[in-house]
Amino acid sequence: MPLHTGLETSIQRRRLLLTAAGAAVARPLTAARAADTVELVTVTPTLIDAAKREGTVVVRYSSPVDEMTQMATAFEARFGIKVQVDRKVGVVGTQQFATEERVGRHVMDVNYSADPAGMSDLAEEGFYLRFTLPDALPLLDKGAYIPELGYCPKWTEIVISYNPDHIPLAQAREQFKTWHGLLDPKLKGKIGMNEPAGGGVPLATYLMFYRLPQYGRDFVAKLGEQKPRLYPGSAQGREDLAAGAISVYVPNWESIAMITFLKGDRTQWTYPEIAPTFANTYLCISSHAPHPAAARLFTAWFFTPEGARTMELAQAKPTLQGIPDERTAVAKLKQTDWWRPFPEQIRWIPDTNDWVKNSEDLIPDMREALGWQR
Amino acid sequence: MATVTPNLDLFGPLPRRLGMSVVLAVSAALVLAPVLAVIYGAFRTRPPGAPRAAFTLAKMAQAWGGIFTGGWTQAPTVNTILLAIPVTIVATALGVALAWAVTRTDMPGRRTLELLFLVPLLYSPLVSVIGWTVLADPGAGLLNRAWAGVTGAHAPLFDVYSYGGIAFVMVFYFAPYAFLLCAGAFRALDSTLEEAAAMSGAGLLRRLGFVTFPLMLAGIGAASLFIFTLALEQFAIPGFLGAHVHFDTLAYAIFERTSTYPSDLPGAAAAGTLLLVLSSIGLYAYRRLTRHAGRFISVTARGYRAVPTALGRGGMVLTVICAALFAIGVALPLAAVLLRALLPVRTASVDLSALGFGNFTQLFAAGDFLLGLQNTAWLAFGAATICAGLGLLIGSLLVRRRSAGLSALDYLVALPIGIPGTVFGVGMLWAYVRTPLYLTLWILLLAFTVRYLVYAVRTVGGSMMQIDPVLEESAAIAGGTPLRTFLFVDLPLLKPAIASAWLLVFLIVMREISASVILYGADSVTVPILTWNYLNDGSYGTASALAIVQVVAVGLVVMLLRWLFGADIRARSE
Repeated sequence: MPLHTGLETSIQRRRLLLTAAGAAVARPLTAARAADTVELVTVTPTLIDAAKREGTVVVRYSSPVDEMTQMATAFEARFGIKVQVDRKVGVVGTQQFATEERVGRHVMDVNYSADPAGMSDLAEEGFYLRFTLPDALPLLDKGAYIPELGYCPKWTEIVISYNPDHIPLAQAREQFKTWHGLLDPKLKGKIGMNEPAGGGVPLATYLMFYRLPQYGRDFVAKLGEQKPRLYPGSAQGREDLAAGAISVYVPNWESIAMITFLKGDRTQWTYPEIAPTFANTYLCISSHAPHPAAARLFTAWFFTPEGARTMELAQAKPTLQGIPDERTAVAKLKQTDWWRPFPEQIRWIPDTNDWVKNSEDLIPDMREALGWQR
Repeated sequence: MATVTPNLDLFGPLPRRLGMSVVLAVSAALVLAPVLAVIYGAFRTRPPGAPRAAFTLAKMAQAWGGIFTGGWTQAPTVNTILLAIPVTIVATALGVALAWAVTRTDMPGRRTLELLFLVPLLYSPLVSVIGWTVLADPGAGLLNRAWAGVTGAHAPLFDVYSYGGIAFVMVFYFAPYAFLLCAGAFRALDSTLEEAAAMSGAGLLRRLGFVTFPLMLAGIGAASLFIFTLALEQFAIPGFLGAHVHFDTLAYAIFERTSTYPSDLPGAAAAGTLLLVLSSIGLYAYRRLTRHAGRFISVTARGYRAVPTALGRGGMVLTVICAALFAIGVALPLAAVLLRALLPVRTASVDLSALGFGNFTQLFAAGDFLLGLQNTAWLAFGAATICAGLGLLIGSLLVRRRSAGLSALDYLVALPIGIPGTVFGVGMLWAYVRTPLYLTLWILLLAFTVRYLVYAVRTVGGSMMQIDPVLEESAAIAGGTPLRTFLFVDLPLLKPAIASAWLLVFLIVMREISASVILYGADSVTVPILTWNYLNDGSYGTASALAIVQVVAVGLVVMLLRWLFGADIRARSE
């Protein structure tokens, strides 16, 4: 796969064929791809120089606005490279990128996408660069990336949020030791939930229910019988919980809950015996990025200790291991009597292959199980 | 009644024909590009350009056949019709009645109320959703809590998450359009006919029923058509409020197909043609209503005055009713949005000590706030000016001339508004992705011009119908050239309508979200896009703060416009 103008030959030298070692993590999603070369992307002085000469990187993203603003500002300050951000959430960004690439219109450098299934489809058309991050890979959990395609810099950890005015702390901890606590008849009509197609967070959670024998589709159907408020997106659910319109909101996302906590939100959250921890948004590089070096630098920088610490400023939890948790929210939460750190042993990491291959069929079934008739 | 005669030979027969042909050809090309792209997409298995995409009738069959066979379009189509028709009727009736009260009576406080009634036009439907959610959530709405506190009742006073709640919010959101569209036409109405009726012994209601409203039929028809198409394609209000009660409309179902995985753009395009047909039915009804333009003439060569109807004590009663409607439909939800903007997080009860300007500070610190404001202002001014200019030309031609080409043009300019905004945005994307316009402000300007031209054409055309061609014939007999006649006879009389058209397009563009969300790029972000992003992000407080800033900024523009055109308007009514 040829590199594009502006890159130094030294970068080209880093491109190599991955053999057995890479294949261990790379095979499932990449079998259909025509090319068999994988580029190694690392932050080097040569890459930085090349990126600076390009001067700009164009990023489409699905992540929270504040988080991307934080990252873009820090990147600009660090390298003097302008970051043009363009928020196109999930499928919308995928479609736009596909339309552009199919007519040979190369606009976007990096897609920070929450649409892994769409990403994989476009990778098959050769629109995404096959790359790996050799410096970061040993420090990343397997669930934090789609091999050779997309790398997620932060964890999304799912929690059960509740309004303490409706459910006292002790009761919440006891009742929500498992997800079955949501089936309490007293909660009928008082639960807020995201509908399955409402993004990666709900899909990961419903996928967990479907795949774990102690829950299964029947559990989702019973949740539907609780007559929950079903939201197309997560924001409305958090608002309703804070206002006391509902008593419980699931699946919430701890780092976002932390942001609202910092703003003064009094809602609390607890951890059941198992909860999805997953990669929600992946950094992918366009095969035909107009600013190829800047695209590579921007992506690789997210997985450096500096990038990870910057991400913590937006209360996100980096996937890069070995970074001390210095989030402001965590420091404040430690002073409360109700918060505990996310227990490592409850993590359920979804299989990205399962996600990508089956979500198209599963989503309608999940909706049906919930009684979502839209 | 005078007959309609051709008299718009501005530049002589040959230049006129050439000019008309150019207008037709350019309009056709601009309008048809995205529309044809959508229709083409509706007959593909995958989006145009995608590998393995092939011709198919399946998507159209699913969309159209599904209505009768329980497919995905059935319930949304039925719901859409059940919502759009009553909302159109009630919102139009409300808007027309308010416009009459403000422009044709001596009701105290009418000038203030006229401004206040336009306030909902200043913010996006998403803002209405925020406001009404804060007020009328069945469990946590401030109104319902207050009601429960006072009466001890468990049942909510008003449940915004219901069919009635959705319709209520839409009625108050759309009524100002009817108000704005009809206020200009009411002002242009000569009082002589009403006075003649009064002298013949007709009471107020009789005069309204047999003189005023029949003369206003074209304007009311245009307003109804306008609201009907807006109600058909509205996805934010039923989308957000209907989720809990599984009330799904076609526009929202289409939006979902474009924005959630697995996306189905060809299916969305096919369903978009359903809305196109529904709105075309509305357009056909409007054309039938106004096919005899002479019936609506009220400004004739015999002189022209608009004297307000004296209401006596009834005027104060009407003021109270209008003020109450404003308080319920506009002030309350806007106050709720302001409250949300001042609160860092929404809470069960209002804690005054928590109020602050943190959301505003965060908004002003955002790097793209000023860029968004600047882009939005530029787009709104640009699209409004182009649409008003083209609307004047096309609207005048449509009224003064009847030809197959012009009839085609009439239908053509109305096509883009019949397609849901998101699908139209996808059509623009498909049509223009190869051009230098793509991802610039220019493609947004083009999209808005093409999409909203019809409103300017209808507004100006509606007023043109009220002007007796005898005025133009008299000018011609006195030696005036067609151009001079147009500039010194028609144009002054049409000035309020042109101002209304300009303002209408300006206000719509200030809030446009559905097509922009597909077409904007890093440098062409707009205020509605920022609002959308904040809402998606869960930053309701910042979105509310932005809405308040937008209301103030656009309100200032409206005041400025009123200051510029107000003298002319007041001279007419006095």
